[in-house]
Amino acid sequence: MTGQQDMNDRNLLDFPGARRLKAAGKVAPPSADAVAAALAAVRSAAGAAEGNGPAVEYELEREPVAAVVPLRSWRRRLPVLASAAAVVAVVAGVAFGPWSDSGEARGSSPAAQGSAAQERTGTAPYWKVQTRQWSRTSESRQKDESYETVWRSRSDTRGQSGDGPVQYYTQDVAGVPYTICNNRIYWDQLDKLPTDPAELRARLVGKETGEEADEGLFLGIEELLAGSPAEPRLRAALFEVLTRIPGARVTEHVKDSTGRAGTAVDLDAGTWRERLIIDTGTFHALELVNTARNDGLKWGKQELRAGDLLMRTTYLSVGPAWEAPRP
Amino acid sequence: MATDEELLARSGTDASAFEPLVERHSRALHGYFARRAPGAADDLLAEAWLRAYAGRGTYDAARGPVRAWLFGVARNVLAAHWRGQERPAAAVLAGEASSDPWHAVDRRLDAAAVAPLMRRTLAELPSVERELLLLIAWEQLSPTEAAAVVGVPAGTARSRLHRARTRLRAALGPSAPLSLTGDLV
Repeated sequence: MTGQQDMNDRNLLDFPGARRLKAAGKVAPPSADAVAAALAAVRSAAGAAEGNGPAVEYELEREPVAAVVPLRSWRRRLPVLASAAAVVAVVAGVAFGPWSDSGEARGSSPAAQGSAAQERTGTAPYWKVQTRQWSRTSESRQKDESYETVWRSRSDTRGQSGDGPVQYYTQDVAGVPYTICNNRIYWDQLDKLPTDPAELRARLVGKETGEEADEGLFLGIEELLAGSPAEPRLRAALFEVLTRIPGARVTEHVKDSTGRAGTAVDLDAGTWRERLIIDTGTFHALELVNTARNDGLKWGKQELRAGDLLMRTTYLSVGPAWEAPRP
Repeated sequence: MATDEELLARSGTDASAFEPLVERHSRALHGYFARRAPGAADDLLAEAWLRAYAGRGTYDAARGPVRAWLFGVARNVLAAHWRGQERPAAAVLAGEASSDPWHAVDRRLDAAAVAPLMRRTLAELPSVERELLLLIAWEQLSPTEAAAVVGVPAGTARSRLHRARTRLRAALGPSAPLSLTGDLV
């Protein structure tokens, strides 16, 4: 991270009303009972794992938890007490994520399926993305340009900013989702997505509606086209969905900042204009550009004019990788 | 005093080493739940700690601080909670995604007299941007930590946070009514 980025990060809450927004987040600390209950639950889980006696007996309104069982189905099945077996399952459970399931489904998590799918299809375990990012600084007209390389796998995302150290970016050991609108899609679900544009849109958008859905869809598709190992048919369908977003405008024969030719899809989002340039031969993302939509947009001390550049992410290279550096 | 990372590593063979983590981080995690699911914060806190305990062997210190990892666990627990909830009629009518805690967050903002204009602007942000912003404003995570919690690359998170801030500035800028303290009324 550059010094300029550090400064920008510190200023992320620099907008009118931020203090009141922060104040609205004030909450009372947990009661001693609540912390004690959490501690007791952990102790019981630890004790059960070591075979040291009975499992937790929860009060009727305090439902038990088993990490190897999805909370919803588990709640239906075990409404009152956590059995010793259930708590042992928590401790011994290998799965740890929203798709975790009971015994018969063990090993069928997206991450677990990943290794089998990888052997079956021979796909590379990583998706490597190299970007150049440019953002207008808020305090001056100085440009802020940075380079980043990201390696994404089924279970983690790691990255390197400039020449800095490689770091893990994500923590979800059971799988790193792509977020489209408010839906999560995992690496191993990509080949199950429909390639009919109408069905695909419905799957991606879910229940979200309005402008938020349109912009969420736009950004989510950008994430999938740039950061996922989606197959060509799915990429083509994603492009089709992108161009059908209400208000989206398509311009052929444009060039990105490196001179590569592609097709641009523009969408107005609030005071911004989003432009995604795509190589329609491979349906890979080339560049995402944000500009001011109208004259008068405030940017720190500056007042921008329509079309002024705000941010730009250029995908210098994207593709499968068989190896990724360890942080 | 042992660091979080040392305690978590030690808890693989000594379960009691996990307990100080519960004592250190329960307040922050409970706050996270209380802001997004106020009626269920106590239960969700216990659920989150059980999940964290069950998954402690999979934590890798190179992936980032324990604190951010715990919020990632909490986020999963919260999403499962909201998916399993009967949602308020207004949320259903508005077509809100079932795992999105925005409706509860908005009620909190309303109760705290946050300006309707800000609430509307936040509501119009893509959910990922809104979530990143609130993780920074309320949970005091760094952009990199918030990115890890939400599961997006740090560069993407920074870009989206800048975008969210610009939206808020544009909507709530100098022409918006301010109180004597300079805060939005």
